[in-house]
Amino acid sequence: MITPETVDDILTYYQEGRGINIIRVLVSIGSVLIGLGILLIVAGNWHLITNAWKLVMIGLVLTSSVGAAYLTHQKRPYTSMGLLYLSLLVYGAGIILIRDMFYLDLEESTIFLLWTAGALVLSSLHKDVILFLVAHMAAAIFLMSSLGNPVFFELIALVVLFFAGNWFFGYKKIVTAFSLLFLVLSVFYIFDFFRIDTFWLMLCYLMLGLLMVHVHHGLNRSVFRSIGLGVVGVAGVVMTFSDLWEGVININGTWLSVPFAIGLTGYMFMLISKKQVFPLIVIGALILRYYFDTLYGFMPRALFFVIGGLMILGIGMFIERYRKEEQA
Amino acid sequence: MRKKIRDVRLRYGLTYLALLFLMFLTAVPSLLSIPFGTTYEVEAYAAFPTDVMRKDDFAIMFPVEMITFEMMDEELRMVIQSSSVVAIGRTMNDQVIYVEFGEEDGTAVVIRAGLEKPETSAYIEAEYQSVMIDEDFNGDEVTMDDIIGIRVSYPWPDHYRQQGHDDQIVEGFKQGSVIYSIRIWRGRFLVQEMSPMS
Repeated sequence: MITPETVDDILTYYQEGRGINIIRVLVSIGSVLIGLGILLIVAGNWHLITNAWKLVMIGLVLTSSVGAAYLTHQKRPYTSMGLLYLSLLVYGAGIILIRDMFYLDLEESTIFLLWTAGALVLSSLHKDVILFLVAHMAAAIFLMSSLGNPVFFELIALVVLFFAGNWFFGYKKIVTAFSLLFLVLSVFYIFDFFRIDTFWLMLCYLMLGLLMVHVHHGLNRSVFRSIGLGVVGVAGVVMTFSDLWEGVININGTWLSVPFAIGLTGYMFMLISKKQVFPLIVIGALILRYYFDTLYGFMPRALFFVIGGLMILGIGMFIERYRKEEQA
Repeated sequence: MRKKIRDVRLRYGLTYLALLFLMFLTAVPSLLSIPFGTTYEVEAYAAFPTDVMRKDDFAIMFPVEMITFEMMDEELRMVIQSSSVVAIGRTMNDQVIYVEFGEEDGTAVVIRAGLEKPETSAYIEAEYQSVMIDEDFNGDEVTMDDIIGIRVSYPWPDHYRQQGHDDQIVEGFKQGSVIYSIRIWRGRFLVQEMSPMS
């Protein structure tokens, strides 16, 4: 039996636990300061340390962070995951430091590919979505730093792995979104590698976006539709510039870009009639694009920016009201 | 419960091993010297007066045709063939600066530095990157003591640029029966054994 006295004792114990423990705070601040001091000493004398010792230190830091993640796994799972993220950072920094120490002929792209590999291994072992998303980001940097270099094998492997991750992580929307964005970036890389005209890139994006919006399948349709609309919107607005058409067709580009803009607007209105909000943003962007392109050279600057600002505010308010009406 | 603990241990063990393996994988070629062959590190700055050049700031690219390398007492030494090589740069205040290099006992040394373009036929067009002057400098004439680092690059032939070597020399030279490649890496000349001569 728990007596009233015992109840008081227990409650008192928990009330103390919820308050700020001044000793713990002081110990924490002290530990951080000592750690920072050691870090500064090591960083300041880094060039004096021999390569062998540097390797040992990098290994020790990695061992400590993974070890601490393991030790805190049971009682403090969030801290443990934080330490795992730290391990991934230490791993990436370690690669760069080793490259610098031995003057290895490692390109930035290779470093980020290795970083991606590390993030993929960690995310699969611990089934952690954040690590998987970090792998996407590192892979995106890898791809952008590989522009002009043939990395098709790595690219195909990454795209396959990222889309397979959708199954592995239970078809989470955020994973699908990141995988699709990486795919969009891959298209840019391919067009850049073969030096294909921007017009064809935008046309490809337009087609890809339309496929994402309209093709029916079972993998997070809403995510496909949102990203597809974004891709169609950006590519569509870019394709309203007449210069882009003149690069591939030997006539006045305005004859093609204006009908295209009308067609794009019609398509967006059709989507609005299906109670979608994003097409309104595309139409707003189109209005502003023509406003800036046509009147910037003629109007007094102050008046130009005031009217432009009012238009943006008006479009914003209209979209907000439309969105609320749709939600109601 | 015991199985769960074993699983956790296995997972973290694999995490550690995978990261360690991938991280040190990058160091293995250098540690074992397998694919890169023998790598000589020629610290070119050592040939200059230490009070003028600072290790971390220094990077200079000479026209490759003016450089030869000699193996002396198992040390590789860089030799500037021209008796006078001049590098031109521009200070932060948009002043033209020149640094004249010469040869002393087979190694390159700074002969003089100044703010004017020298009237000499040995003048070489060099592409400016940056010249670092001591923070205390506020006079009209730059002396060697004011210069804490020089970064000058020579305009490379187009085919080097196309190969993505904008910031490094890639050139072969023969030493006995071996071809070496030379490049600048973070202010140091790296000489790497490439292949045996056929």
